[in-house]
Amino acid sequence: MERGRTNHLRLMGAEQNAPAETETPGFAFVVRLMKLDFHKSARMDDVLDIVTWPVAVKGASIVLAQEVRRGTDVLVAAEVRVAFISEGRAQPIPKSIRALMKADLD
Amino acid sequence: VCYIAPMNTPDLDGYIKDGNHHMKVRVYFEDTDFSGVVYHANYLRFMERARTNYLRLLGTDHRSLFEDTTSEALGFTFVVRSMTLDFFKPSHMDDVLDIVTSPVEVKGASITLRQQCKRGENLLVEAKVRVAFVSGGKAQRIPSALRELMEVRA
Repeated sequence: MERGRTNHLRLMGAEQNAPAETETPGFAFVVRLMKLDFHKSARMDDVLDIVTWPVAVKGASIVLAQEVRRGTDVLVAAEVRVAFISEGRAQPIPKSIRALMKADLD
Repeated sequence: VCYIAPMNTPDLDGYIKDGNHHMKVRVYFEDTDFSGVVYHANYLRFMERARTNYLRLLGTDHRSLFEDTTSEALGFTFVVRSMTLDFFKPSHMDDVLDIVTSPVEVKGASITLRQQCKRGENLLVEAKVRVAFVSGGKAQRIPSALRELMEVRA
């Protein structure tokens, strides 16, 4: 799921030439809260699909939904709240990132 | 799966006091991420160790009761069904953490535990973990002996 979140952000950045990097250098998202439901187990050789989508964009944090699926089976469902950190402190999320995430909400 | 310890190893297993299990964990370089703080998923590993040791100590402290459980449900284990985690503060290389585990509710086939990761008086991470009792590959009612052990403390 961490990889899913990283790549989700990476793809958003790549598509928009990472405008947030110039606005707030050295930013990162840190996990503040996770709710995890383990429904079914995965086994050796399974191919899992990690699906990530934003469900809420707040001032300094984003709530993402994540699912681990095998085919149409949902194995694990998660809600993850990540806070935007720049220069070691929680900061308001720059407009560019907020806009990107919000676009996905609609 | 057998949780009964082959020997008494208090330095490794932690201890139970007033119904709470305490276990110390030292933070090593391998536990941190590129920003120098403990990687969030590693708290899940610390907490898993604490749950295992908590069960291990319940087994050694109340061996006869625990043996009833193992005869009632051979090869039992607990699997995690749901977790809610709050990350309040980061921890760093060389920190000594205290993982405190307490049962909060014992239901028919599952137990809810509260787990806290502390550094001194500071609460760094708090988790609510629901584990289901599994034996013979299926969820089962928790045997009465084990239920009593945990209910006393819940």
